[in-house]
Amino acid sequence: MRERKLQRVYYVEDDQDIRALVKISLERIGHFTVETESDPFRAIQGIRTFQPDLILLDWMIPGLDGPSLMQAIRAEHDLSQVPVVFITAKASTEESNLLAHIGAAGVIHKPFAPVSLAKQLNDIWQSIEAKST
Amino acid sequence: MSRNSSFFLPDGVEESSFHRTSSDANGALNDQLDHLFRYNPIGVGMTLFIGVIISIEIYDVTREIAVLVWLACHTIISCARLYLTRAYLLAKRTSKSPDYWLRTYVLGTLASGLCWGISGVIFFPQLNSSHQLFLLFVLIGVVSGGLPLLSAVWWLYGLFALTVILPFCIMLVIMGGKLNFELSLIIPILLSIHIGIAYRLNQLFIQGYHLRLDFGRINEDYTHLNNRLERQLSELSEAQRQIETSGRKLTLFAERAPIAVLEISAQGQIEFMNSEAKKLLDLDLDEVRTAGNNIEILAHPALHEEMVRRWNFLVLHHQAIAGLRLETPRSDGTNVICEWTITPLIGPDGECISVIAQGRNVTEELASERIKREFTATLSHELRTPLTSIIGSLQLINSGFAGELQPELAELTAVAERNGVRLLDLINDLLDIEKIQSGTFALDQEEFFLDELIIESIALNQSFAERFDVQLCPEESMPNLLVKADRKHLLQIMTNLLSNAAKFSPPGEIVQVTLSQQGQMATVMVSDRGPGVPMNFRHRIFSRFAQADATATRLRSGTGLGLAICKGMIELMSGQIGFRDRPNGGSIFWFQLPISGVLEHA
Repeated sequence: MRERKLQRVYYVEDDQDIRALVKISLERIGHFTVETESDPFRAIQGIRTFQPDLILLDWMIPGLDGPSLMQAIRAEHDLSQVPVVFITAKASTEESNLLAHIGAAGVIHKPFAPVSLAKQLNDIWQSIEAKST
Repeated sequence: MSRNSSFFLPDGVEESSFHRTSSDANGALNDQLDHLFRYNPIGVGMTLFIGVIISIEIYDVTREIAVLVWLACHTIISCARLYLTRAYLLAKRTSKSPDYWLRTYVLGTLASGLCWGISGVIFFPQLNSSHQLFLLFVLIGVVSGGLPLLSAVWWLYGLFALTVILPFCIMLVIMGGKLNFELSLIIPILLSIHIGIAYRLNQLFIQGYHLRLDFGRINEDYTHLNNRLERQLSELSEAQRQIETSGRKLTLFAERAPIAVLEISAQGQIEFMNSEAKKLLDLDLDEVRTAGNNIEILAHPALHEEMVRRWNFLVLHHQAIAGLRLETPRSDGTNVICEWTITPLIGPDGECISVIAQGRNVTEELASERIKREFTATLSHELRTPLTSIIGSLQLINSGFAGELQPELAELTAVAERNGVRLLDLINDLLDIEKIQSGTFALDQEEFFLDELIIESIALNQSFAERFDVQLCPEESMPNLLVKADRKHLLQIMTNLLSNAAKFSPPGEIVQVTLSQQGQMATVMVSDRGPGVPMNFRHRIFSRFAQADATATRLRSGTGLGLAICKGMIELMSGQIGFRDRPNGGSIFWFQLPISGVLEHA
């Protein structure tokens, strides 16, 4: 059903530099179309407009943290099926369990290597595809 | 004096008294001689005077030549006796023995007595009756006068009296006549009375001597005892002064100590608090007494049962406690955390007299430790975030995806990336060590085969080792040992040991990795052919920021935290880590982990 490549990624991150780095990395190496947002409260509207294949969230966002934002997205009926991947410095088992529990599709640990970021996302995407078929 | 009685005497007193008893006889004789010679000049002077008087009186009524000869003899004997007395007093009886002096004294006295006796024999018959009476009176007077002078030695007096009177009595008998015969009977009676008195006086003299001696001895003993008592008294007062000084010092130490000091009875009653303790608890001793005076005020009510249990154990088994942290409620409603050292004071009979508790307020210390920890964590996070961007950007540039770079530019960005990574490693290491030290390092334990992890770690580090022209070689066939450990962090430890071995090996060498089973422990050894660990570095190789020298750091890079982290992690996984010299050069770094199983696996 979803026999298609990962193309559109929506990324929420408050740090401007990381945002730029991830955007360049994904666009140059992964050849994705990337839309970024710094304000979590504008994210839902942005996602609805952009219609991404996958949402990439930072954990620590001032105002509304990653897991809370994800739950807010899940609560939106039309967006509830979009897979969410976290990019976080938090590495403990406890935290990974929390993300699995709320239904995150994957976790990328900080510090990440921008060169391999696109590949990591593609791997996660393929495992989602495999599950859905 | 018995030896036992010396218990009451000071040293030395007993000895001298004991010996003096044996020389009492000589002592008494010396005393008698002193008496005899001291009064001898008086006796001699008196007899000489009486001799002259009697010579003048009878000179006209008897043969003059006999009187002159007698007086001459009498004078010569008297002079000899005076000379003898002078010799004795001057020589102080030391030159000759007491017996010698007594002998010469007796000779002198007897010669004098004989002279008087002869006077009676030769003059009496030629005198008229009134002169006879005069002579008789003089002779009896001489005998009586000798009594106080000579009675110190009664037998000497007896001999003297006999020499004076006996020839006279014999002569009376020879002369015949009733009156003479009666006199010869009465005079010896008088003589014996005199001798009896002399004997009695002699005894009194000896007794007096002994009394004086005993008194002297008692006096001496008393003086010794008194001296001893005085010495003991001064020692006691010195001891008391020292005890008082020590007491004052101790009080001062306790009172001015910067830690809380409590003295607590074995029953748990607080008996003393220094000012720091009062400050700590915000109470004084009176308020403590009002609050029940019990150690329970030192802890929250929830802990009282446990506290009483441990207290009883401490008092019963005399077991000191150190480093006990206790949260104590203060009267103002706040809490303080104290670190206590509790020491029971044991009396000579083995009973617990009281317990000394010394407490240090560690509330602020703990708070500052927590702040430091939080600060380190925050700082590390804040450092990591920009570093991630820097390294990420440089990686993107160096990967060429952002466009081709000129060679020189590429070299510069490679230097920047390499050092960025090094800085990130240092921050990560600092975070790890901080977590290990504060006990917040979380392990993700799982069961896995150690041999597989070794193969994986070698594969991961092979390319790093090749930079130094070093090969990492696992043992041909390693046992399949199952361990329960944190896989990710064990890989980190292996990476650390392997990269160290590679860095320090000479080019072209091989780093051997082996796995073996020793009892319940699996031992991994990484053996290199490097220069070995310098002697002065061995004791601190597992300490923080441990590096053999600054040159090594620059040449081979590294944070100096790696081995400290390895040690901390291995110990958290219930293992051990160490190193030893490798035969024929190099070092062997090893670690051991408990085996959870030995299973065959595909």
